Amino acid sequence: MTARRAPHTAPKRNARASSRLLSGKKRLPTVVGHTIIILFCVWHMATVAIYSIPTDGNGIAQTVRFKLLPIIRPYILTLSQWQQWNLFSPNPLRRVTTFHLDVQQGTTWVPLKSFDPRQESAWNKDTYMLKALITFDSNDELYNSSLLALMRSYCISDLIPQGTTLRMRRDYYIVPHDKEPVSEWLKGPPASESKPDLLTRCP
Amino acid sequence: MRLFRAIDGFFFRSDSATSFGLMRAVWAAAVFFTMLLRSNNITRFYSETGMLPAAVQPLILRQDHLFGILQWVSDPQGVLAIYVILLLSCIVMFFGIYARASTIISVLLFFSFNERNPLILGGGDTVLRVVGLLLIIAPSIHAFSLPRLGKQWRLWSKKRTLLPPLTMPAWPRILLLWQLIVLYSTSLWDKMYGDMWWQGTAVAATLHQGQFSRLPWDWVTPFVVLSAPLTWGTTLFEAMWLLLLIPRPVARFLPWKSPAALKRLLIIGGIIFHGSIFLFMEVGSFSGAMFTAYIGLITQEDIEAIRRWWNSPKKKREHSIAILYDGHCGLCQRSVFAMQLFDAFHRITPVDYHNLAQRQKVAPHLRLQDLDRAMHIKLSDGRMYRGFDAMRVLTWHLPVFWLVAPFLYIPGIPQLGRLFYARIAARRILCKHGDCRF
Repeated sequence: MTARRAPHTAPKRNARASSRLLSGKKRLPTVVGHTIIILFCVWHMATVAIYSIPTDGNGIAQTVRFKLLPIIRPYILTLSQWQQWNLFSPNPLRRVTTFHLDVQQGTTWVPLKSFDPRQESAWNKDTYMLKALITFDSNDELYNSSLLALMRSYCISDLIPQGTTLRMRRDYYIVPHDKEPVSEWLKGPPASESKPDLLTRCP
Repeated sequence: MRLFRAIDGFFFRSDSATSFGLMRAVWAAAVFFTMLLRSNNITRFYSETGMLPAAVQPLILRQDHLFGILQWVSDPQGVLAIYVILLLSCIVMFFGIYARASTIISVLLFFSFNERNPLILGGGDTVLRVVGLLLIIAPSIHAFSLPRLGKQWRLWSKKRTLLPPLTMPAWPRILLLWQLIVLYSTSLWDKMYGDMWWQGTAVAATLHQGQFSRLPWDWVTPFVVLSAPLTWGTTLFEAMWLLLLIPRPVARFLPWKSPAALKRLLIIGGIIFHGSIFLFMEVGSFSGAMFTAYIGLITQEDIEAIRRWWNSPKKKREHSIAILYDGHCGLCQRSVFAMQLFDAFHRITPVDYHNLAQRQKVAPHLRLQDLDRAMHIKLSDGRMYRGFDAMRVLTWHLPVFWLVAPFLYIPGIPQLGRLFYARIAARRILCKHGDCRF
């Protein structure tokens, strides 16, 4: 017996439904159903497009987005469809920050954890932790409380005694600016600078 | 009325659901591995003892329209339990078991984790969220699933034919395509507000940025001369997605002739683009998420266009392969069934050699004793292969085996393969329900 492959054809049921609609004989529930789905699609496409308008500019599009936001926001947020596609834009991130968490033992600081992307294996970077730390680094005032909470989370995971002081050191350098000539890249990474240390105690 | 019919036809034209079914499976795998990569830090990221305790949340996170089970479950044990449920649910969703229910559970739990801590999210998570919603609402997502494989086998074992592909209306794929056009065009739009994308230095700066780049600084520097073409190439690629908005009647007069052909070119470009990003940069799940979304864009028209191109007579490839197999042996039946499922280019015609009429048509000169010793295949140019050599030829015609095919030519492998094949063929009658004792 020769095996057969079923041809790809739209099911007859669909074909019949489609022809009924084209001849105006489609059943009312189907017409209503199709209308609802089409309206939903148009609404979804519009809200996604408006919500995604870049917020970096200051033109008509941003004004439209701002005016329509109260209408579309509940839908987009409830369905977890929020999105801004500022991928490496307006300019790519040029700041490289390293984070070092130390524990105080007597008068000395003992390294507990280090987040240095340059020291991590190319294929085994702690991507999500680095992403969080980059976010923290972008706005100290806003994220300090969260960064301190992150430091304290190591008290539990690493069984550090209550009252022990933790310190977060942060060093950074800026990749040369775009307007610099190529020779700037040839000099290698610039020297690092430091941000003020963050201190907290294990609860 | 005519306009309504045209709109209805646009959103409800029927198409294959196979690619959406495959997208469901790949989405589940992508979320599984994305979440697995966070396993060391689950409680740190998502629980009360982590970076966002209840006291800190109102300072950083929005508080309105915020739903998700992790808003109520915040103790570390509870978060771990929900994490395990998400992983298990992704496994069930991957195989398409209770496809609708497992998809809803996986997607909603993934939303919950995303909403609980947006500070660690990247573009890949966002793509997976928007694709996840489409999977929840799209019909026929049980295509490409284990239960459907069971149905296929039951039909094939009785009638030697496969089920027709599941179909679905066009609207979920339209929403997906729109999402990708929005993604690329707004990404380009935002880049235009900067100056590095205009100057052509964005790629060089990004590859020197130690947080993302997989390459050491010294390795990147000699190639900075390529930065400008790569930077402008990226913006051109993103801009080209807008061309998909040109209506079909107008697109006929453009070099690519149809939006479908342009879409196929963009998908190929996207695979190279996101594949390169994956190779040179650590950007989380972004490349994987984009590949997942691309799968859902593939229509029956695309599959047939690829098939036509691949089977084109100019390429001088064998266009049909008759497989002479033992229709009385369970193992042989299952092997041929599997090969027919994998036969993406529609080249295989299985022939049960116990059927005299069929056998006479394909290979009248072969004796039953010879056929009984090994599977034979006959190519359209008349060449015949048997046993292991036949299997090796078939691997070149079944895309899922392409990676394996070259290894079958390594010295020593053919000799071992022929031995092993002969052993299986001799004892195949002892195999019952796929269980063989050699």
